[in-house]
Amino acid sequence: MNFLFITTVLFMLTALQARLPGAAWLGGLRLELVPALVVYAALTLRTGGAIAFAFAAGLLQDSLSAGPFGLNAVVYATITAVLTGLHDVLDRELPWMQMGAGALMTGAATTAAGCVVGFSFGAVLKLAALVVFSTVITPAMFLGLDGLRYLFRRDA
Amino acid sequence: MKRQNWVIIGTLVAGWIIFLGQPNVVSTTLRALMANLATPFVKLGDLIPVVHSRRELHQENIKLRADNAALRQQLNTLAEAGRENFRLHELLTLKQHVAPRTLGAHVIGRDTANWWRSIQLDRGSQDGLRDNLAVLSADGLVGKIITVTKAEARVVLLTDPNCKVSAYLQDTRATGIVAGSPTALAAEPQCDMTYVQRNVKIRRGEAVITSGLGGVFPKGILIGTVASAQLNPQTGMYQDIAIKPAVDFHRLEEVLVILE
Repeated sequence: MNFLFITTVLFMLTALQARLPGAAWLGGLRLELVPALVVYAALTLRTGGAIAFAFAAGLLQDSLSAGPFGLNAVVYATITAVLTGLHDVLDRELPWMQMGAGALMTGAATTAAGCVVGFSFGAVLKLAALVVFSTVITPAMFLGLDGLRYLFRRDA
Repeated sequence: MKRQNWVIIGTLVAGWIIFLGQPNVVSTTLRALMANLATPFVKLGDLIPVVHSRRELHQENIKLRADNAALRQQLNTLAEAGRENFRLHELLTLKQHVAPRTLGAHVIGRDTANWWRSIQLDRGSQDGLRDNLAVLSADGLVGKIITVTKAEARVVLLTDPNCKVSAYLQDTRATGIVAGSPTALAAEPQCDMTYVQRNVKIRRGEAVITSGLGGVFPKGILIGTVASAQLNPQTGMYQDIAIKPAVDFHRLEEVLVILE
């Protein structure tokens, strides 16, 4: 797969995440798109490339955040290492598999963040909302990016 | 799962703990590098095609907003100076109030995570910015700069629990510490003022002002107003005050950075 393509998508999604306003109907929560992209890379790229991409994606997100630098990088790379280790049993084409991976990635990242800022009732609600969103958006990410890959594929 | 994946995970965690999790040369350099790579993409959001005349109006609007912000901040500061003059009538001379040197900046991005509250400015070290400079808007205190690269800076907002400000209630002059409330909804950001003496009578709507202690935030900047107060349930020795910030953080577009 074109690494340049997915890296460009990463930069654009990260920038979009930094510019998007909060959703008023979600109590001002801002929807996170990068975890879904990291899951896509984890289930598409080979192990080394996927982990490197996940680590870079986390560093990029952390550089545009006031949180501990490298926290998301370590979490994304760790979950990616887990997902790539289960390549033999995971079928990336199954939507529920994509949804589960998306929920796992976001759940791990938000739990790590919660460990830093502290858990409260509101924090748990926030975590649940973000996991639900990621569960929904990850299959859409797969659909969109796989479609783009097919569109720009090089014919044999 | 393969053994090599466990080794990778262990290496990543150890590497984060040693190199990235703490402020050091490696994490600072890497953060600056990644921020510099990402900022051009964030700024792409500003490229909106406009008609020439609308562009002129837009630029004039920005300039007028910056002037308005500076003037309103001067008004707040002068009002506070007037109160001090009334309270300290024994003074024979007044220290001349000099407006601090400020720099305007645009907000080009927000925190990518939902757990921290920060904004990104389009000014950096090349414009004279450095860490721990106070940032304010026309309405009041916004926060302080925590990281700076050559062309951009990150500001931790007043509503982030990591931003702590020494403050006092404008009428009663009772002191306390203001920090962002971690439990507040992002849609309704709130601050908490703690360590306020229990015997102080607090009025709802009373203004909360920076005290100037700590050396980061100048004295007399409006933080917000009292929303509610209650005795700290754990210690019973102090009052905890919920503060409604004066600044609408969702609509921040331009800010002023105090350079000295």
